[in-house]
Amino acid sequence: MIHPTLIFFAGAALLPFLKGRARKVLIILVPLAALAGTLFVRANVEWFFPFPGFSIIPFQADRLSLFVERIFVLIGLLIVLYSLHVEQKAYPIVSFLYIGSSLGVVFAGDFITFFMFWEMLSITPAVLIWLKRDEGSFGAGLRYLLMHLVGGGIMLAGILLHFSATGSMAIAGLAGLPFALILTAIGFKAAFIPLHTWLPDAYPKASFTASVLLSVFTTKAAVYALARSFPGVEVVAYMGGVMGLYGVTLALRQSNARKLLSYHIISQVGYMVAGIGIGTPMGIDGGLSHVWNHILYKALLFMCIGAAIYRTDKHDLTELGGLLKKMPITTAACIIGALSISGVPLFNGFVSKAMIYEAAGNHAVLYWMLKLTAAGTFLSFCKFTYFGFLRNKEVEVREAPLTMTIPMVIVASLCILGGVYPDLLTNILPYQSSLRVFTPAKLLDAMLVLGVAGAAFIAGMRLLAPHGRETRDFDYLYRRVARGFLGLWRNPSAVDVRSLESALLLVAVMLSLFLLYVAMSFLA
Amino acid sequence: MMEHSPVLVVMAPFIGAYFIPLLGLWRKQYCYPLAAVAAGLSALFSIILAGSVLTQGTIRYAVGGWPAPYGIELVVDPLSAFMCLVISLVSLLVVAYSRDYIEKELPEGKTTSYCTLVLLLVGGLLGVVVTGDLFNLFVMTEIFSVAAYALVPMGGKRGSFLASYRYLILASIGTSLILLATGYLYMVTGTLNMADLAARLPLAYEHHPWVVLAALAFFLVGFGIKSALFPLHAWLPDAYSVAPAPVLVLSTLVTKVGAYSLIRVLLTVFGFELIAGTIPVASALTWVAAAAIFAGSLFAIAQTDIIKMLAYSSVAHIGYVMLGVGLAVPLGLTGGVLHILNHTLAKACLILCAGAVIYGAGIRRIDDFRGLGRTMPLTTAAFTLAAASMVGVPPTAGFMSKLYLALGALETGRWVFVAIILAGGLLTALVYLRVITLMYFRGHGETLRRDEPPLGMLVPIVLLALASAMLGTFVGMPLSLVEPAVRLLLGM
Repeated sequence: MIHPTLIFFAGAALLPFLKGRARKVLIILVPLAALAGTLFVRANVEWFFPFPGFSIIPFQADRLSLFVERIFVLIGLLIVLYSLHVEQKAYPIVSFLYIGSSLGVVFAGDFITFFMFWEMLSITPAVLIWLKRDEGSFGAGLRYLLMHLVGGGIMLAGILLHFSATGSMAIAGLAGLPFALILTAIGFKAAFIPLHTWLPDAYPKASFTASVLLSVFTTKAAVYALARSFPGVEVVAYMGGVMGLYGVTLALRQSNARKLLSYHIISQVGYMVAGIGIGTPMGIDGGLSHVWNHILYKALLFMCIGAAIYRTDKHDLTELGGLLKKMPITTAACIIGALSISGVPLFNGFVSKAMIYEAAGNHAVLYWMLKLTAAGTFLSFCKFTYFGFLRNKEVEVREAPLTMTIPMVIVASLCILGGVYPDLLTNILPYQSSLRVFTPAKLLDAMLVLGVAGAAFIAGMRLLAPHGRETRDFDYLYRRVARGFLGLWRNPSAVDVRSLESALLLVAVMLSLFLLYVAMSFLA
Repeated sequence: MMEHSPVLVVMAPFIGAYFIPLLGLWRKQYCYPLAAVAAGLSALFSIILAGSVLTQGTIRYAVGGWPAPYGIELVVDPLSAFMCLVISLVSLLVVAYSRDYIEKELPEGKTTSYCTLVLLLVGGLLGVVVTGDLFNLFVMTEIFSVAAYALVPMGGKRGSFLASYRYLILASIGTSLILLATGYLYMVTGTLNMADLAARLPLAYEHHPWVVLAALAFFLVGFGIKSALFPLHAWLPDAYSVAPAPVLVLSTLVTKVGAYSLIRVLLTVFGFELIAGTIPVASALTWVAAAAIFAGSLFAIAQTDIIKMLAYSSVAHIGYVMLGVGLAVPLGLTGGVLHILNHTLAKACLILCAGAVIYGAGIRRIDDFRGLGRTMPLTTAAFTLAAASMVGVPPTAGFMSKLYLALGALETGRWVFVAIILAGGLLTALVYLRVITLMYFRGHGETLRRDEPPLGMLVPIVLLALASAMLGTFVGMPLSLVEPAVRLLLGM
């Protein structure tokens, strides 16, 4: 029995020494080994290292962490397959470190370990973004890293206060100021509004393989952390509703394909956050199965748009299109992903959304926020698939290579499998909640929402057509505030440190002369 | 032999420094090996010393057999042993690094004087940390300062004499103040032995409060200059910008010994009651330290020259050490003392990496670092590891010292310092991110040929980087000396 993080880190350590075929074999073998590891029964296992003052628990497995581990490792394998064509040496190394650190967060049994992997989970994605090596990705990665480091600092402050209040590093019993600080810090990674700006900023600017990877781990590790420490916090539930609506509203206004998908991450994470915030077994299980389903369909959507970008080199919905005939597998996979995220019955998104609606029954406002989000999501994905893939347009491209289509087909079939047999997940959910989703009322309800949205799309197609304008988000504000400071960072010679220093020194010398004078007068 | 190790650890470099000029007259090529042997012996003795301090506690050694009040007493407590280890091991690595670097970067025929001065400087530093006598401390301070004045302009660059002269003026003001303060204390207590002083000072303070206060102020300013404590740091970037890289590492050690002297004087001589209770020096020091953390990092961000950037970053990190001293609680002081080690390791590594870049590629402008990740992969990797430790990324060494500092701040209930420590970490991250991202992610596509420095330079770099990365996990090793040292300092 072995910690999956160790498998990924060992793989990352070995990779620089391999070349050619052996390197590719290892790249596949590492996530495969981790996947094999999930087959062992490991509930309630703990690794325990006592230290003076506290103890370090790098591996603590229970139903919650094992559930998240399974989907992380599964999708990790498929994405690694998908990005096998990337020749850049550092890319698989950094992605293994990234996946490994997210698994480290999942299994951390104490705050020290948790914080360590949490920080790695801030650094490795930034490196992944930077690996594209252009100025756009550089700036985005930097903003990403800085925001997450601020979040990490808040987290550390919370942990320290928690430790000084309770004398324990255990991830439990948060209250008062540490509670608020750690919740805020998790909010940075979970893309709480308005701490979300790094997400739509950075994900579209990374390479398309990196954005598939990024779409899975960071936010979901944060959702895991919420499920671990903050289930049933009402503020969190409503934050979920806000995230859902805000994300979908901004998504509707995007024309960069991956930026649109990025805003949908925020809105879909909103569902999970809402479910966990409600805190009933049904809510938590709903939120977690939405983690599972969302990872599948959102990775699928990013894979599809990635394949389109790979073949056409176009990023914008204004330029894409005409892919139905040329890239049929990719287009079909994309439609499956779009139907899943929209919550169409028989696709997996429907199941977990139904569970969250069920749990939100007593919170009328939240319920309607989420419903509205669902309608907006369908509307947005009508636009995405129509303009991105289906509409008539003359293009000269080939279908994506097999290393890309095979993972896409696998993930697409998993989406359908989860939608047709919703009970498959029930057994591994922490509370084993199950819900009869194929009742006439629920089906009718879903169809009604989708029908309204579909009609709205047909009616307002011209309004929704991609336009290529930049939309403003909170980061516009942040960048204005930070401009002075980051200006110094970008143009270091702007400040004359020397004269500032001389002035300070002069003050210090005057002060000590004064002291000397005082001392002398008393001595005399 | 073993019982003489307190004096041998200091004498090894001094004896080396005596013989090297003679040897240089005869065979120049033997100077360097002799310097290496002297530094190695001193490192060996300091390890022995640390071992015996761990087993039998504080060692008192009367030089020449003259008992304490008349002769010079060497007192090696855990803090001294800790500092001895830091100084002698790091300077051994510096000497190892120097051979290739000096050959290329120094003008012809300076090897003899370089080796002599380095050993004098190291001997002076070690002398300061083992002595138990305030006047002896002043003498040793003067020895290493003079050696440093001569070493700084050795590169012979344009403006190096002016920079060195400026350093000389400021540092001499510092040493004069230290001498004055020592004199004041002697006036009111009639002794120079630290242990005696500690016993007599409370009474002396009752009778002559202003004299003692003036002495305290002079010590603060004097050692503040030596340790480049903000705003008395102005000499540091100047001296840094002209000195050869190995000398820069030695001058980080100089600032650390300045910090050590301040700790020694504040906590051993004046004592915790006096500086934390009667006179609010400690809490004033925390605010100075906070200013240093912010100003140092901001100034570092405003630099375009890599060496100057590292210099200002040192100013910020001396702030962390002083914050630990100012907090004056066990956990905080542990963090401060631990940061002496962690910052020395990380900064030495960074300086040596920058030196390797200057040596190999001949560049010092940060903007020219583009793409170095490909030509010097090992050096840049070491730089990144050390920078991570500077920022305090877990689980590196730097994280541990900042963690202890933050816990110490919580222990005193002053949460604002936790915020300052964290914000300081963020600023440090900004400082180093610019370099790291330039090295790795903003390069152009072409692959250049490998251009790593020679092995003699690479090994110290890699060792220092590994130590910075690992000593966070194995923090128990330095703590075994730091913990008793802190208990002794705070009188618990």
